[in-house]
Amino acid sequence: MVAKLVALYFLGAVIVYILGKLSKKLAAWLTFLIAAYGAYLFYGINKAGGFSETYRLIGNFGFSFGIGPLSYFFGMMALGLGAVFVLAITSWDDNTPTLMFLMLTVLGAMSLITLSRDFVSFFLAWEIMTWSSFATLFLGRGIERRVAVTRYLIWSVIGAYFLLLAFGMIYAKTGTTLFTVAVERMAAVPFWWLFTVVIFLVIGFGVKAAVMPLHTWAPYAYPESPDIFTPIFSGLLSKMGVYGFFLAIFFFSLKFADYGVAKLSGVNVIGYIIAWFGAITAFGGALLAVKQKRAKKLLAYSSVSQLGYVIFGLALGTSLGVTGAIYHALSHAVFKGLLFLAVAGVIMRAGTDDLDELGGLIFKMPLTFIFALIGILALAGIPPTIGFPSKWLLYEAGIERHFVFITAVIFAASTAAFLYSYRFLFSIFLGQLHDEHRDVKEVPLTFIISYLVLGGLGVYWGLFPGKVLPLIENIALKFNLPALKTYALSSITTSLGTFNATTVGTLFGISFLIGLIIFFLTGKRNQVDQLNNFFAGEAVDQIEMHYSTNFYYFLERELKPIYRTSAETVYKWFSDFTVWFGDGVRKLFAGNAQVYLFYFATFLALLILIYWGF
Amino acid sequence: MIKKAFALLLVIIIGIFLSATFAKIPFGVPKTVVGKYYLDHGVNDLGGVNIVTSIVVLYRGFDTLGEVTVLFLAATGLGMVLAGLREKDEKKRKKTAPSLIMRTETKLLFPMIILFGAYIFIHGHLTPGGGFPGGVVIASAFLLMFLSHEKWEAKEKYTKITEALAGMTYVVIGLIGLYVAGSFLENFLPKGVPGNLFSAGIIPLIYTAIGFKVGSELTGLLQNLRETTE
Amino acid sequence: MVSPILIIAVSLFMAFSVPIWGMLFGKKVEKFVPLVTFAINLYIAIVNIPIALQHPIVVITAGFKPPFGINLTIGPLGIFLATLIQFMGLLVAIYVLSYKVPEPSEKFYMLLILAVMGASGIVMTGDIFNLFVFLEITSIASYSLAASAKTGGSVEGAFKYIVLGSLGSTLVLLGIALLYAQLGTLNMADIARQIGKVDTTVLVAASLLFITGFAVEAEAFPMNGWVPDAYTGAPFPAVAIFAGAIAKAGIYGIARIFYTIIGAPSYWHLIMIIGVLTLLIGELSALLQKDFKRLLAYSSIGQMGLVLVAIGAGTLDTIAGGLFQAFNHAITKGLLFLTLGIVVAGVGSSNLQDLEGLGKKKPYLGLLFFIGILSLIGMPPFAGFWSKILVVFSIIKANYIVYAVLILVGAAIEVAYYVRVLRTLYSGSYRGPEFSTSFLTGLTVTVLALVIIVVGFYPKLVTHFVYPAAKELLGRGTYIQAVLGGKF
Repeated sequence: MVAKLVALYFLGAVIVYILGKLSKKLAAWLTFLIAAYGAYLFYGINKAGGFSETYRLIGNFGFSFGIGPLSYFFGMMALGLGAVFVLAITSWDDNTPTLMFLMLTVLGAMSLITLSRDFVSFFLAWEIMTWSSFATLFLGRGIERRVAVTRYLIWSVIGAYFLLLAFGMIYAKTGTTLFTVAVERMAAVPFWWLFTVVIFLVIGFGVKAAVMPLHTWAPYAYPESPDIFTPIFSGLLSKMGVYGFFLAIFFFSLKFADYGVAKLSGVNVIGYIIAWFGAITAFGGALLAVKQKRAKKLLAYSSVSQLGYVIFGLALGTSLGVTGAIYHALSHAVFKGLLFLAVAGVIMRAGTDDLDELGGLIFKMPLTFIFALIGILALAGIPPTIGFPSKWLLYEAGIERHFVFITAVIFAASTAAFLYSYRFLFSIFLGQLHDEHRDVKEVPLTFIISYLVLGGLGVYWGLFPGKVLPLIENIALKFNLPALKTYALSSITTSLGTFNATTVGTLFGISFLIGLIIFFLTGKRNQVDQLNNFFAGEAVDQIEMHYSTNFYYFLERELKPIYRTSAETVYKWFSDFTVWFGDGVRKLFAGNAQVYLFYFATFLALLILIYWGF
Repeated sequence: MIKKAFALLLVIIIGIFLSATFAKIPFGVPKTVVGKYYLDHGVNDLGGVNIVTSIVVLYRGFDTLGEVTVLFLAATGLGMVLAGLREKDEKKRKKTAPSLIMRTETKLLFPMIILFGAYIFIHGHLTPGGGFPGGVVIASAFLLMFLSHEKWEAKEKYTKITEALAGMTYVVIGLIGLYVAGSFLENFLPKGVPGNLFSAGIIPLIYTAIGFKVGSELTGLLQNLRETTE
Repeated sequence: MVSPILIIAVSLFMAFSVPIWGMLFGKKVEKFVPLVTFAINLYIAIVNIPIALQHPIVVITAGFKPPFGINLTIGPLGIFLATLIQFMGLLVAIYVLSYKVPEPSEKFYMLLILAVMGASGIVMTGDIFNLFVFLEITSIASYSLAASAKTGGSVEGAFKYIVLGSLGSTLVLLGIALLYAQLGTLNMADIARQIGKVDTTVLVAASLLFITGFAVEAEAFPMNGWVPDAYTGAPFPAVAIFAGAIAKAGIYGIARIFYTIIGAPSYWHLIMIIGVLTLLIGELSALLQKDFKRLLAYSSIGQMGLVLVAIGAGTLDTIAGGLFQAFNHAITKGLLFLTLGIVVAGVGSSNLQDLEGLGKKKPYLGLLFFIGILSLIGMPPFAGFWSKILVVFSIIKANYIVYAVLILVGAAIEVAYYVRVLRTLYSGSYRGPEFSTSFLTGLTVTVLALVIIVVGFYPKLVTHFVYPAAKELLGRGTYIQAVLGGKF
């Protein structure tokens, strides 16, 4: 099975590259077909009732693969949504064979990550994912390439090394690299050891999930990647971090309770602290998104923020928290993918994602607008989109445990999310259309199809949460989490209340219809040409009244002190120190032969002094 | 000043340590198994009367081959670095021209020195000396000629050929030993009676080869140096 | 069976004969001599692999059994390194068919052959003084190769190399003399057998002398001051040999002495400390380098440090990992240096600023750099991934977690400067002169890249050798028995 997937994605990548040199269109369609078929194969794995395979490639390490509810959920999300994202590449203008090669490689790596059942194959797939996504950064538009490339690779590698250390420690202690066997043998480890391993894993996966303060790569890497790749990057790769996070917290640290770690309202303290990191990420990310001037960067910070919610839920470890978190991971993948895809369409047609230069595109790209709107609604957590149930569950998780402060922060984050969502929508689609965009066309058909699928899923899963929840329940049960609350096809009931999607959705629809009727029935409206404006007698031939610039000036002014504190300063200090230190060390090698002889003799003398103690 | 003091300190530390180490090694006590074996069996095994030669060429012949290579490398390296650095400034050369006595005398001595050198390496297995000293003596003959006759040159072509062929001969002798007698550089010629000229198997052959090699090598080296200095 | 001593004999014969071929058939023929030599040698090495893996091959010379005669002892470690060294030699020999070497070229070819032969001799010999002789051969050939470009930088680098190298060799000789004075034998196995009879102080002295002496060739801190200048000044084919063959021989020297001959675990920790220092200092120095060649030299130092840490850790897995890492380093650095050689021959400078955008202009060369760098960082599916995982896992398992952390710190620093290199290669636009890659030089670097990829997919190819080699290092008794026979 795994061999089939590997061959499909990786060999496929090579074939696509070669084909792409001849005909980009054909290669693009082949890419999509491969991605779709891969998703189909993956879907089939679960139907067949699971599998387990082992391959022996090196020394004492064997590769082991298998499938379970968690792997299935995340893998299907990655490959299925990935295929939908890939569809758009068939009409992408700046497509290159290299890009298609890398996209398939990334998808293949993700499939391996979710199916892996041992540390070595996991790490191998993880690293493949890292360098192939890294390589795409060279194919972007190049605005902030320098920072993006450097930060992404260094952060990814640092995260990967934390993972490697943790895996190494587990291997050293248990003598095996297989997940299940390792956990069995970890029965009697000292607490500090377990704690170190979990922290290392959390850091390693946290980098990928861009949790604060490990996030400083994301606002540069996401926008810098080729626009058509960003949905995959932001929507799917980060979920691999979430997947790993889940494993770290629920698979390898089931024992925290056994060690008598203090509990706060039934949640262990360590988890609580990590949840705070998640909450701060949510809030901080949202605030930073508010002041962005480029659409992609805004969405990038938004992604950081949204994943904060996910981490919050997972770290709490309660059934509500976990359910909400996984649901939200799915939501985010869907709506962020949709939003990034919309932006990709805008950039392809209008040439820029600078919010100050866009505007009024609703006239030219109405379909894109509608789906972007659906995406925004989902982001803001408005029913009946998918964003609502997931966010609702997360709020409930916080409320249920009486965590007032942390829930307040999450709420505040959502408020900030409204701010940037509105800005995003307004600056691009509403307001005045700029002159240079008068000839902009709507996006191609394949884009529209992708939008449809994503938007459709966004609404469908929002109306019928009962379609998603069973899958999550399987996951929870597998990991011995408390039983879920009750739910039906379109409603969820928790200890705090019920959410009935049908009711809400219907209400929503009716209100919309009422609004629509009022709009058409009332008053006389005159259609006025955009340039037909009154400027105190002055003739106007160009519109400069799209007040998108400095949209939230007042907010930024008030929040200036908060904006100044940043993790980036710490890292900058750290890297400056390393560079300074490196420069000093380098001077060791700037001597002449005599100096080196001195080193030699000094070292020998030193050794003599040390060893002559015998 | 501090540097010098520090350097002195280092030297003292290392010096004391090494002295203490050497103090632990008893002086004058026979303890080597291998050396003793050579002394006892050298003449019988190999037929050469000069034990040193027997050790150098046969017991540890592989090392000698290595040493020959080292010398070769030194000469080649020198040639490599100095090539193209010729500065023939005619004016400078006229400083002290060798006198008539020197020029005549060296021409007379030249063949005799070479003969002496050849004697040394041909009789390596019988008398002290061998290929290396013999070759050096030969080279010194050439040096004498260089010093006394400015225009006289040893044709590079010949030194190179001699050097190469001599080296190859050494290796070939070793290979013959491998295929005829079973191991590289093993003796395959009759040992003869110790003390005779034609004894000690391959030792005279090897020493002859070494003699030629070293001689031509050093000559070439001196030639290189000569052309670039002055 | 083809006797492995032919590797030495053939190399010598061919090296001596270079001018003869030139005179007989014209100067053009000379450049084929290294190619023929290494092809034959590689064949000999490969043919002996199955035998050496089973049981160490002992080749005697001059018909005298050890300890009275010199012998070669070629076990898994020896044959592995010997094959690797010949392979690198062969590739460089193909490379110089097309690459212009410094004049006089015949001498360059002779030096090349002998440098590689010296390294091969070091890893194959079973006699400690013979080890010294081959060390001398290797060193002097390297000094000459380093100086062969005859530029100011070249000569300066060679000078530093000579000074430090001579001192190192002398110390090694002193150490050998001390051991001989106590034990009366020069055979490695014999010394190993009787090492208990050596007085403690003498043993300490010999060990310290050996460590510092071999550390010069193994590029360990603080004896590696020569590396940046010598590597930067030497012609590229020579540098490929330095990094690919000679440094490995230095590491072998340390490993052989401290595992087989002296067998003292107390020094292994020292080796680890030296290794870590070398690693961190090497990587930090590379951080700000603007010259690609010099950057690669520092990177080499760092990698050697990593190998030393792994080998010093003393368990089967760590030693195997260290050897695997050494193998990867030889191949990868060979790839990087030789590719850079092609670039510099065309561009005229190895300064990174002059190479800006080269990756886009010459995608194939850029891809080769990309593969080499990814393998060095330890990314799959390249060979570097396996050695990195093996080293880190085994070091943690050997209870040296602090070292593992330091290794990863060094690796992170390595990523930092290589990402800068990649960035420079792939951004901006190339403004330098046009140039093309000749078929043969391109072939050489392609082969190296292919090796990286193949081993990346099928690491068993290498672990098949390094595990027995590691066992050999840890198994003193077996070694002694193989050479001297009888029970130990």
